Amino acid sequence: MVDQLPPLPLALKAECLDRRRRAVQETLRAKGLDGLVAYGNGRHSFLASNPAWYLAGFRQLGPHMAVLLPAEGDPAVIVAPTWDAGRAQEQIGLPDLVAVEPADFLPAVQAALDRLGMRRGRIAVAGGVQPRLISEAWPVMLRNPELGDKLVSDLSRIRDEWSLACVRKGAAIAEAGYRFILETARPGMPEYVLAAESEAYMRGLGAEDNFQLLSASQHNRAAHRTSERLLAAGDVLLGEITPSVDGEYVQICRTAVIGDPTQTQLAAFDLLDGALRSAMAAAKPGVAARDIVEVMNAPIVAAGYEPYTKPPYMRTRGHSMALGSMDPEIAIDSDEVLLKGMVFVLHPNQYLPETGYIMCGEPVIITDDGAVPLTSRMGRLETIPA
Amino acid sequence: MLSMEPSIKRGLTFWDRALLPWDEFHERIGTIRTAMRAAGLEALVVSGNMYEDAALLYLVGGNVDGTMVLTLEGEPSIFTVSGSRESFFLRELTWMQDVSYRGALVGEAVRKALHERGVTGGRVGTAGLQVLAARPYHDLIEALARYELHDFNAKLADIRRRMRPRERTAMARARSITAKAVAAAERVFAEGASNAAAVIEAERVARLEGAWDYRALANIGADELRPLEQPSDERREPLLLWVATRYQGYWADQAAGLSSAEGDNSRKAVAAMTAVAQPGVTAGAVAEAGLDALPEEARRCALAYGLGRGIGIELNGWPVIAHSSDDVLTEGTLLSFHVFAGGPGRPSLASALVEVRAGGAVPFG
Repeated sequence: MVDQLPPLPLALKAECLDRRRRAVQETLRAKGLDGLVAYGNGRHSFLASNPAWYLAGFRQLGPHMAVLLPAEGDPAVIVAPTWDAGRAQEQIGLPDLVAVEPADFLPAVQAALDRLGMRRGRIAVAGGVQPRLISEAWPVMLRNPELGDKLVSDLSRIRDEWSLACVRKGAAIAEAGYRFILETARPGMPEYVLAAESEAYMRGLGAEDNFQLLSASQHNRAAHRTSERLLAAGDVLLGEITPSVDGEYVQICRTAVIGDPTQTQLAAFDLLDGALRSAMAAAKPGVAARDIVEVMNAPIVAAGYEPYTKPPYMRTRGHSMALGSMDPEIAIDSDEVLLKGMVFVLHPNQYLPETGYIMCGEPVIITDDGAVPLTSRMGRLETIPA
Repeated sequence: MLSMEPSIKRGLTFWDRALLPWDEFHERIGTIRTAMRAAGLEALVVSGNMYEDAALLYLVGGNVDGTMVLTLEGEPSIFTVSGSRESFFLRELTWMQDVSYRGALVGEAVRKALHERGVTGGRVGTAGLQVLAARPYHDLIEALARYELHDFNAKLADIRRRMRPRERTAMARARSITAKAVAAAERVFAEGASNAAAVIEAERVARLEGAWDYRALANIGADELRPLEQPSDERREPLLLWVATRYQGYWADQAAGLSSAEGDNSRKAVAAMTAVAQPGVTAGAVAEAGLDALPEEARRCALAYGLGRGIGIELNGWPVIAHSSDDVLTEGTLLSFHVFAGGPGRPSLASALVEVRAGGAVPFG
């Protein structure tokens, strides 16, 4: 199953990375800043942003990486560990790159800041989720460092061509992975065996990582990590499948029934699917995220399920898939406004008392006509032979 | 060895009650409480997250991130970072009854839990707080301002190092999973598969065998160890592969470097380290023995990748096998030696998972 999907054009990656760094430099100059320190920890979680990854295009093995970007001039990259230098140089392609041991990271950053003349200027730090050791080092190393996460996030939340190429490939892998799951799952199979086989399949298609929840029950409380439970006729199988391609995660949320679905299950899925489609139609540039939540919740509330539209019966109505930006969060308390070109997953996943938890969610891109799915086919209530 | 951190530990996630039953954790808690009393502590506050979990996992037993409050008497509580939707599943992973979601800022919840248990002042131990980001850390410290805080990390680590029989059984299970994964990779590689495909097969088998977490590095696209990022048809001989798997919180790792003349260098170095590892010897002396067995050009590479670490509930635990280390090996310590000997010619990779016994190091399991 290797190389079924065409490789992505690496020249496009280099071009987009260069454009990202120049765009950040323009913003730095416009704001009167002298430079940016973009930091990334080694936990490439799609639930947290990684500004260094966004500007370097590299997922480092070690716990630390920083891109030092002066407002004028060339950037410097410090990455850990030393033995990963070859991979870093191949993928980052910048001449000013140094690989150090994790313990030497901060001294190396300080030396590079000195060399670039960034210690004394107005410097912003985009850190994402930082260990305390790192976040408390910046004020010592820099003179009054300013918050710079938004500076990167505002750029990265609008996907460029490379990001979209990765996301589209990721969506194709996710859909293929789910088809594989439907073909492979059978009563008597442990959840973790199904997960193992589908993981390997998606890895062969080019998924470097996968934030996956895959679980089943006759009445699901929610989706969760894969357990030892054996699949059984009548189970509702939930899949939150999130492969990553070059650091870009893309998520689909799916539900299948082992055996014939009941009329209640079909009606429940239709209710959530209708809510998703309404929200997608409304999700246009300029619309507030909280309004999308209202639109999505409206048919569910009208059907009498208002209490179940809140935690702990659901988590959120949609979210970014990082690593570049955590925007937008599609939540009732969100002040964010949708912008053309944003990519995120929209999902009315939730518990319903008659059926248990149901998942239906699509990765979408915001266009003038609303949210357009990045998948070839939206989810439906699938059937697995009992 | 450093390896690519996955976005979620998504392998078999369950509490193996047959292997680590309820009483296992009560005995651990009993040992900790004895140490707390000896240190004059009224309570212990322990934090962990999905990535740095050793201290918390030892006490809680499942992959439950958050902050635990343990007093000298009564049931402990844990305040989780994972969302309220996940709480029902987290409760399935731990022996603890009081599991509740509080988000990242748990200071007030911890202070209230201490008060409810009658601990309104005095000496409170802390462990694992280094994993907290700045805001949660300061929130917790401010909430505990009325207590005298005492760093309990070293004592807890010392207790954890004396591995219990059931822990060793869990680790043996991880070792078995790892061995099967490596064997599967070697088999498909021998049949003509690429290095990347061999790594994928290792992961498939590891997960089928019940691995909770899986890590691998191999000579994919270069004569150095790299994580799998893209499928590839390229074959690079011999297959150099390092695999680590985790079962019920316990790690085991193993390297595969199909036999070659150059492979003798890395194997000799591992054998040399195994030969000198015994109670009372420093980790530095062990490292020197390994380096002495390597030709000059291979030493730099071996040093960069590291020569080994303690292994168990941590993949990269105490001690570090490095020539600068003064850490003294003790009986019962489990060590993972690995040597990647690069330089001119074909690189080689070898490993050994050993237990330090009174008479010297022997293969674990």
